[in-house]
Amino acid sequence: MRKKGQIQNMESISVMIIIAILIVLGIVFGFNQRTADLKIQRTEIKEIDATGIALKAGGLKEIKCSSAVDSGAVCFDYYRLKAISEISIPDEPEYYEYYYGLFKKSQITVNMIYPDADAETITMYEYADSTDQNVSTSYFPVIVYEPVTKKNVFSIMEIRVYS
Amino acid sequence: MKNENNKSISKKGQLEISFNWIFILLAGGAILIFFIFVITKESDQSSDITNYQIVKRMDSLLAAVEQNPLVMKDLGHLSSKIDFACQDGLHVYALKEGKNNPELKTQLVFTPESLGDARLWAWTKDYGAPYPVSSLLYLSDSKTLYVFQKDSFVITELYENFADNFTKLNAEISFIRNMKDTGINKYILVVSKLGYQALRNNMGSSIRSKITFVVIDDTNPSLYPGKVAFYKYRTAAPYSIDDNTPGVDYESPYTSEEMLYGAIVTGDKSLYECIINKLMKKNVVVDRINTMRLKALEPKFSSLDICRTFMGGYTISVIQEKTTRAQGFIDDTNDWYIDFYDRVKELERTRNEMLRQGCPTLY
Repeated sequence: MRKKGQIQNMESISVMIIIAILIVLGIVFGFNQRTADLKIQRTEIKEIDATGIALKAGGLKEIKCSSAVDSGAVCFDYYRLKAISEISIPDEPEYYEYYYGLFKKSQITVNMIYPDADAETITMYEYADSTDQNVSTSYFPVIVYEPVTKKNVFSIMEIRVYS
Repeated sequence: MKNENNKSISKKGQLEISFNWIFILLAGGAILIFFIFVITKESDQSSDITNYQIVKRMDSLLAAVEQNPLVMKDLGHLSSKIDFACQDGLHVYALKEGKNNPELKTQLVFTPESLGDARLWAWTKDYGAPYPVSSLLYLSDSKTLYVFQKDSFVITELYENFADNFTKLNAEISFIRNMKDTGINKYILVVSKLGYQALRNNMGSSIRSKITFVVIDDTNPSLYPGKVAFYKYRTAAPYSIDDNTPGVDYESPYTSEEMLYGAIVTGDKSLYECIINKLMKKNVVVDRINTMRLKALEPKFSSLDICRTFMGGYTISVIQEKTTRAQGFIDDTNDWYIDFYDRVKELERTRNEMLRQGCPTLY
């Protein structure tokens, strides 16, 4: 009789242990699955972010070429581009804050490449703490227009989005 | 002896039964807590994701319209409801199930106070002062009705240039007065001062709680710059119109058509001013960029070159004055919006002269 009772107790305890193990396994499996999903989502979001930031940067009215210039492409005025690169820095908090609101953790540079192969590179915006390791990079073609010489420079806008 | 044995067996049985119950309670409780935890986490996450998606959607919509301005876009049916408000000077929105109110930091989006449970439309316009500043996005839904007073020529013209796909109506005072509730969530009545006087005490009680008057002074020879007034009915008895509370300013300034349409679409003074404040901040940024550009351009021309005169001190001082006026645009004890408008016109004239002289232009 006592033995039967002991066996029944053992049964109950082992069922409890098995249930606990199943719950723990479920949590671990669910957690791993969620982490994997989030990783995929994060990569997707970063890619979308890079495109979104490129669209925003390309659409910035304040650096566009004058309406008198019709380049037929995304066109930046050279002097406006230089001006934005000088104010979108942490030393100019009023302006940096505005551009941080737009571009968040990213870096946007415009590499002027043709006709002058060694022409300059202008950093339009740079996130102050850009030491993060995970970066996704996108490239978009733009025209930089110099209004005094009336010269168009074919350029590549490089967008780096930090995680 | 037999009796004692029987007693101990029945005690053991009781112990076993109660142990089983304790076990069931503990295990069941653990499982229940686990699932409650998972469900709560999931619902929190889904609400955060929805919030994130809405901001992203608005962001990408704005980014896309920056590339293709002057567009009208059908955004389909929005099943949930979004409320927009100005809280402590911040432009925020709230989903019904959302816990926090995310801020629309840089997005220049004019919307009524509430959107959703209806078909959503987006309309965009480019705003310049006078150089391009930003694209403005106007969002509205099929259950927000904009009624423009037909008896006023100026307001009828506004109606004609207003977004075609927004739910709009051009009607005479007598028609507006007799309007009945047809399931519309919000009625924004765009009327003249005279029209307002004729309607303020004569609107049907069934739609009073849904009405906002946007009153435009159509007696001025020019509509710009001007002030627009917002009046609503009180939400408590006696439900009369709120247009005479001492110390309350019902008017807001505007200097362009884009701003005036912003006032009409929002139909709310605090929401309108919140977005205008953001627009003025953007004006300050753009002014600074154009000032720096002129300063960089000036040395490129000889002192005898006519172009140099346009790049120098006078134009820069006009831009700087405009910046100061932009910073006090809304809090205008000095009516700085008029000064702001004058500086914009002055820069427009300078630009035309630059163009005439073949110089690099201001914009």
